[in-house]
Amino acid sequence: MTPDQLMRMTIKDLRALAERHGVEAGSKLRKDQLIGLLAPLLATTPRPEPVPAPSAPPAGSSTLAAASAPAPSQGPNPGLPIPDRYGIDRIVLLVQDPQHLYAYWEIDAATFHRVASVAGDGCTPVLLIDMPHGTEAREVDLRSGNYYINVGPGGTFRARLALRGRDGRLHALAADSNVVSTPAMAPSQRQDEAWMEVDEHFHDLLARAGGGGAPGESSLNRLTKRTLSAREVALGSDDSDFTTDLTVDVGDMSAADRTSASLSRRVPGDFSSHSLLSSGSLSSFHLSSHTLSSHSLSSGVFSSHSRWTQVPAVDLGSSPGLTQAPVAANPAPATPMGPAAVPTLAAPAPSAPPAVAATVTAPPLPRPGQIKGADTVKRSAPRRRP
Amino acid sequence: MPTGHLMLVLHAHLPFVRHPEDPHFLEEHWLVEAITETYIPILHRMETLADQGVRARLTMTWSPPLCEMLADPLLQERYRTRTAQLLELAEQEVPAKAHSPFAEAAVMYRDHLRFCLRQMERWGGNLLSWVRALMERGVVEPITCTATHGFLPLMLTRESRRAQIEIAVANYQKHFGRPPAGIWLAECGFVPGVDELLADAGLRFFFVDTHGIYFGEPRPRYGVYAPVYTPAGVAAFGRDPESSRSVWSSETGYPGDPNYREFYRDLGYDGDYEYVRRFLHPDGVRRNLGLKYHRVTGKIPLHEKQAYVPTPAFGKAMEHGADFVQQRLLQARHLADIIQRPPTIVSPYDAELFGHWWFEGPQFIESIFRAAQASGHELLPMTGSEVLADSPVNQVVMPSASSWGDAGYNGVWLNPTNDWIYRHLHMAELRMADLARRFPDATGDLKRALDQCARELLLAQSSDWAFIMTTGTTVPYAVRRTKDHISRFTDLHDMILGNRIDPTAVDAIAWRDNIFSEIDYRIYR
Repeated sequence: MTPDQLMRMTIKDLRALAERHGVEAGSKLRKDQLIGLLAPLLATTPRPEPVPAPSAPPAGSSTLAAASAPAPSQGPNPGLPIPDRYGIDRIVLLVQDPQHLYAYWEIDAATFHRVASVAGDGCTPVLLIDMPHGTEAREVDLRSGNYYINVGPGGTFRARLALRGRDGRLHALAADSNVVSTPAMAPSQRQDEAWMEVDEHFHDLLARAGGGGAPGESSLNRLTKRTLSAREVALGSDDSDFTTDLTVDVGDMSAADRTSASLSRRVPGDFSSHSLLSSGSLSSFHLSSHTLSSHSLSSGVFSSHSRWTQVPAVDLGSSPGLTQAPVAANPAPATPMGPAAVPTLAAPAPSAPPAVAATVTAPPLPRPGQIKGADTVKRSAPRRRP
Repeated sequence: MPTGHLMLVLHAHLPFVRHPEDPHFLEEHWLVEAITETYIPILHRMETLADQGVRARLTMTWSPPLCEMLADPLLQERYRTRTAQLLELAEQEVPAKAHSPFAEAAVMYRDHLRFCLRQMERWGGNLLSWVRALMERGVVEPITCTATHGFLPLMLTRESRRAQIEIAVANYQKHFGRPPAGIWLAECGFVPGVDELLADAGLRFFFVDTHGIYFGEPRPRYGVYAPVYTPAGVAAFGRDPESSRSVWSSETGYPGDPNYREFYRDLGYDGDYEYVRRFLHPDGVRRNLGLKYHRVTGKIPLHEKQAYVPTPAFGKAMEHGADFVQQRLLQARHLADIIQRPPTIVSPYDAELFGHWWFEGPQFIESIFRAAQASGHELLPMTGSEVLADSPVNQVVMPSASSWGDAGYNGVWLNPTNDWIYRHLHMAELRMADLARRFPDATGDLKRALDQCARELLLAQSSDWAFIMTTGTTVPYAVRRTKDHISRFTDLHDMILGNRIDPTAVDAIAWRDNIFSEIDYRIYR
């Protein structure tokens, strides 16, 4: 309840309310004093301000959890204490999106002083980033512990922290970071197609779907697949084109800027943790630097059969007129929850007037642009070539 | 032969919000609301369709934390208690709202809450029994999700990614009695290499957002309208942007219809305080009770919203379901001409959208299957496994790293509001793998401590916490959960390495965070 609501109550009601909430409210207390005691106890979560349309909750995996947003009942609880530092010199890279990396680090004070004593007076902390076109150095505040880095899509990156002496020499503060790759932001130029038939037992597959067969009938633990030739599955190509424009006409891709990654393609952000801690420091990072092609070929989990299917080259067309199709006025019996109300499909009427769209309001659901990206990330389907 | 296949996918997930220490823990209400408004209505409608011989096929994630909560006796009891309490209110509402524009809605709420309690009784308190029954009938294909909805692209070690996948598979086996064919990677978060872990776990398909397929290597011949195989032999389905837009769009999406129920008008706020006080949390703060009596009406202030009447609203949902099918049919015909095979249109959504946010959503889903049937199945509903059985030859494409989050990558889960968590999560990943190697065959108290370490790491990795920090909703709770699990993990880790395991302390933590009774820490080796 708000103080305003309390103000509208009689003093008798306020005293009764105070009694129900265990507030010591002697008969001498004035109304304003009673309200002063009660207001903090009965403070309500402010209602959503009236908005032109139901403001959309944020979407995501836990849309309900995130957006129901009940006021916390437990009061301030900052959580249990967690370590400030772990005492291990390290720098780690993460991919935020195709154009940004995030680096965080921890450098022990003893390490810093040891390296600084070698680097000499006036040394400067620098973050060095190996990029496809070379290494870039950024001066950083070591105490900040993290840094966002602008990069480009389709590249492979590694970082390290060092002190740069006045003579320009670099003195490493920690082992190199893990290696990460940013994804491409455009369709691939590669059109060499490989086709695979997963040699699946039909009834086993259906049984898993619950559509037939007896439960537990499967004797297959793994998919089996046809052997892939090196040419057909080689995915380690660095021939990844990209453009910053998400709306891409595939037919014009030859005009797109091209950049090749100078580092070999690796599994982004993935490295084995083996020996990281057993050695007591991160100086012995073992990067799993296998290329995708070699890894996929060396994978021994599949039995081998082979059949390749050639399909005539066809490009997808967009489907104009469908994406913006209005909510059609397709009459159906308005029997709520009634099984008898089976609508019949009218003939397609893409030009039907937007019977509802004109008055449609923002729905009570996650803002598409906020999380799901349906509206904000504009991507056009590849168009048919003329 | 159908012109196209429709693969409707619902992703049901809630973070693990079991709080045995507090019988009135607010976040547990997320589960109560989802059961009443989403899970029971959807399962009921799928069952109705099956009973009536309508072909219905729903691929549906039941995330491991959700399965664990649905199967948990304590939470089942709390659901019954809370629902019975709300039913008491709803029963008072019927006479109170009689002869008013709200009368029909009041009766509907009373009847629905009664129905929910009956269903809980029918299935012994465990809705997963209902899911299993529908699975056996072939109308629902349950799939799993990363163990605690961990966002794989931001994990540091292969061991952690593998654990999130393999623990999910084991948990699915526990609840459904068979291994899963498919998995929903939390937030559709994919990076190349994850597919190998999926193959190793025996999984056969997963989902990525549209650009994950379009930007794949090499260029996908059929776009998102046919599954592709990754080099590891696992199928990837891409989200169809058109069907997503028709539901998600704030401008043209169906849920904005003026007839539909308005989410932000609720008896918990609108009712006389003394009248509703008894049904609120003991702290007395007004919150949603789930009894909502107004409709969207239009783009007008909340206080001007008009009375909600269920009959026209549910009728509108039937119309919208039919329209959805009609639009997909047009789409399928167009695509089939181009690709010379029936396109597979994959339409994935968060399950909680239907019923909780969009109250009439379950009716919409039902009407999709009825409309597809009425089309003579020119648009044929299929599950993920059925599509693969029907079309076993597919192009080999490595999807691009991607997610279905805002802007399509990792920014929702990695930005200045939440980036501080990763140095702790990553250290716990490294430590967990280290512990698993140091103690390859632990037993007794040591094994229990190691298993609990794994639980704490997994719970800390729930992408929900980083997500909530970004959206700014229940941030203190998300921060607290992250810190609590990291702290407990650290305590256990230090206890183990210091050879001073306190069985009582381990028991206390395990009592609180009891997810995954079947866990074996050695998965991190």
